This record gives sequence, structure tokens and C-alpha cells, in this order.
Amino acid sequence: MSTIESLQATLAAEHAAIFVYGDAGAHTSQSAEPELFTTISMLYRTHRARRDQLRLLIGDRGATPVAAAASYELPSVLRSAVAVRRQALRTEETCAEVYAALVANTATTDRDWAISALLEAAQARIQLNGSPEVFPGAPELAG
Amino acid sequence: MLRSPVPTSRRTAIALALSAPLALSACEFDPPSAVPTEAPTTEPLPDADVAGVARAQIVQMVATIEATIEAHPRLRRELTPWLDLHDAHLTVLDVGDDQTATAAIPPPTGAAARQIVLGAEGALASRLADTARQAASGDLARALASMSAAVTQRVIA
Repeated sequence: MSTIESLQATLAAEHAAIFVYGDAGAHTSQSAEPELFTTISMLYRTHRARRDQLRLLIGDRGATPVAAAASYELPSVLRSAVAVRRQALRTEETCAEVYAALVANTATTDRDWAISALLEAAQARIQLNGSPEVFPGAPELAG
Repeated sequence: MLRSPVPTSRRTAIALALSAPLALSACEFDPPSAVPTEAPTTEPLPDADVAGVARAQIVQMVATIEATIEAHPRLRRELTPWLDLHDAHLTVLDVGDDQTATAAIPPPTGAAARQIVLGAEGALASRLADTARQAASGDLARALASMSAAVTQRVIA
């Protein structure tokens, strides 16, 4: 995969993550689950910021940034805080794999960006009460 | 809806990157500065150096943890998962050498020793990220960045 293809794939993942977190935020009570609401809101803003940065990185290369889909199929209805947390964990896990792939397909400042994103996604997993991993974003390396 | 990317690397891919210059030619960026046209030399490849540096840093961390556990057995339960993590990382970075390291004498109190270990782990996470930036092979960079992320996770957990 070329650098531009990998950047576009990462942008597509950010679009999806933003959609997921929008849904997660709508299913999280700020009064009943203030800590989770704060975390979900923070991650929503983080992915929006990354989306904007990726649009610039792609545009700077003369390419047209991939657009968000009109809608995304969510795997389940979020009926509880546990379900919201689980969905957010899945999202960060998938994004970590996308960022790790971007690390492999970039160099210099683009790779710096990908490494930072991977580290932040790994930390987000802990903030969501997930367990530490051996190879965040690259689970197949665990053998 | 969120799809995982097709894994771009395996342990074998990393091993190839460390042992064969041709493995790097698939990258669209930062190609090898010179393609050997004569007999192969015995000089180490740049990525072998990068992997060697990362491996040495992890081996040093393992020595620090082992010395800490020996001096403060009560920390064994807490620190053993760190050893398991580093062992998994060293397996991926195995380039056939047999590095060893000597650790400083741990502080006399367990709390201070624990803080030293956590501080050293934080520094290791930063150094692994630095080596990921330096790697010519994308597969090696990905593995090193993932190791840095794993150490970071345990530091903040």
C-alpha cells in the first residue's frame, strides 16, 4: 500500500470512528456516567482533530481526501454504559491497527504522526478500562 | 463497519527486513541508499542496527527489573508481567545475537525501586518510538511503534 493510500484508509477509519463516537455520546448519560461521558467526548474530539489533520496531509499531496459515508452500520444498539465502553474499545482497537499500518507505509513527519496516533489510541484503551496489550495495533506479532 | 487493515507484517517479514536488503525495496519511500553491485559485505544493515539498539534497550530494562525483583521480592508479582511483555518483544526482535546487560543496584526501599522501574519503562517507551522513526523497513517501524505503545499502556495502567 502506498503512503497516500494508507493516509486515505486512515481518514476513512477516522470518519467511521467519529460516527461511532457520535452514537456513543448520544447513548451516554452525562449525569449518570460523567466519567465515561467525558472520555467519549474527549475521544470524539480527538478523532475529529485527526480527521482534519489527515485531510490536510492528503490535500497537500494534491489528492482529494476520501469523504465520509452517508451512514455507517453499527454493530449493535448501545443499551448500557458497558455496551458503550465495549464499542469504544473496539473502535480504538481498530484505529490502532490502522495507525500501525500507517506507520509501516510512511516516513519522516507522516510516520511521526502515525506513531503519535498509535500511542494515543493505546492510551485510550486504558482510559476506557481496557487491559494492556502485548502488541497494540499489531496483534498478529504476538504469535 | 470499521474494518481492520490487512496485516502488513509478520515476524517473518521483520526477519526478512533485518536480513535481506531486497525486502526493503517494496517501500515507496526511503529506498536503500545504495544497491550492492559487488560481492556482499559483512557490514550490518541499517535496520539491523536499529533493531539491535531497540533490543539492547529492552535487555537493559529486563536486567533492571530482574535486579529489582531480586532485591525486593515483594515486587515480583507486580513486575513479572513487565518481564513477560519484554520477552514477547525480544522474541520479535531476535536477530540471533545474545546480548546481556548489567543493572544498577536498586534503591533500598521497594517504593523507590518501583518508581525507578516505572520511570525507566517510560523512557524505554520514548526510545522505542524513536527507533521506530529511524527504521527503514515499514514492518520493523510498525513493530517498534507497537512495542512503544504496549509499554506506554502498562505505564499508565
